[in-house]
Amino acid sequence: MKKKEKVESLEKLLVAAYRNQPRPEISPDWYQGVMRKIKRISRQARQPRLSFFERVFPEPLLFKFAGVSGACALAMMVFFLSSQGGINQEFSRLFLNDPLGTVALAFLAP
Amino acid sequence: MKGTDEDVMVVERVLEGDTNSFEILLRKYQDNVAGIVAAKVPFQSIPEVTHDVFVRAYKSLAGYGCREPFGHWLRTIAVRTCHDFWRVRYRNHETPISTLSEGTRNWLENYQANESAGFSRDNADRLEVRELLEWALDKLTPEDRMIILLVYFDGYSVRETAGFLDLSTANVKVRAFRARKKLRKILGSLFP
Repeated sequence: MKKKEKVESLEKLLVAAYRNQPRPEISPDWYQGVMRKIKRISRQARQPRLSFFERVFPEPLLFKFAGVSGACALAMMVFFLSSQGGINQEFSRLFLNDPLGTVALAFLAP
Repeated sequence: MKGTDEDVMVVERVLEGDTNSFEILLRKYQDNVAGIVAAKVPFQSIPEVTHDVFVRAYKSLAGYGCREPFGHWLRTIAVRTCHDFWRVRYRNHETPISTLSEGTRNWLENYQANESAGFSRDNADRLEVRELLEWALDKLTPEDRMIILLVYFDGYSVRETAGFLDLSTANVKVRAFRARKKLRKILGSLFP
């Protein structure tokens, strides 16, 4: 038998071996494993996707902070408007034409 | 492996959110998929790769347009999953059978010495021949491996193979020819 014929014969043998490959028995655990995985994927797909910001600052927390900071801003505004000014506001009103004294406050607390 | 209207109905139910219905498809096609996978990956990896085929099928179920039988669509996924399996292995340089075992070397020596040795059913069922097959296929690239298995070993047409691997028919034809040449060279190296 020539080398070429031997190779061809071996190739045929490999094809036959390939077609007769044994298969493992599939256990019931295998089915359960696939279904578990699929159900997990399904659950994850049903959950709405949150952005990074939404995950870091969940809505209720954000609303609490918004309320508190709004209340603080209101209190500060009432305080500045109601205070009849100290010496700084009086100076700024006279010399800088700044009745609320904001320029003077900026100088004092830059 | 022909898909039916029943398959389409089950697919629709799964897409509507009835995940449990997928088990019907799983039980119906498990044998066919395992058969495709069994011939292309090592014995111990068959359950894992078959599992991946069904998970992948579930994930891309929305893309199943019912234009072809469900079984054909699933077969393409099975072939591609096997292809990916070898690509990952190749990338990680995991070659399970880098050298032949002593038993296979002995069998090969007898085969070489025997002038009349040729094809026989007994030989084809031998463990040594399977080991030799794996050894020879491991020497090919993942693409060459898949193309040679699909075209020459499974007997799929060039067009079908091109569809499975998302390649052009001309590309598959050229690659199949070259891969077979390579395989023969590898087998020829066993005969001094």
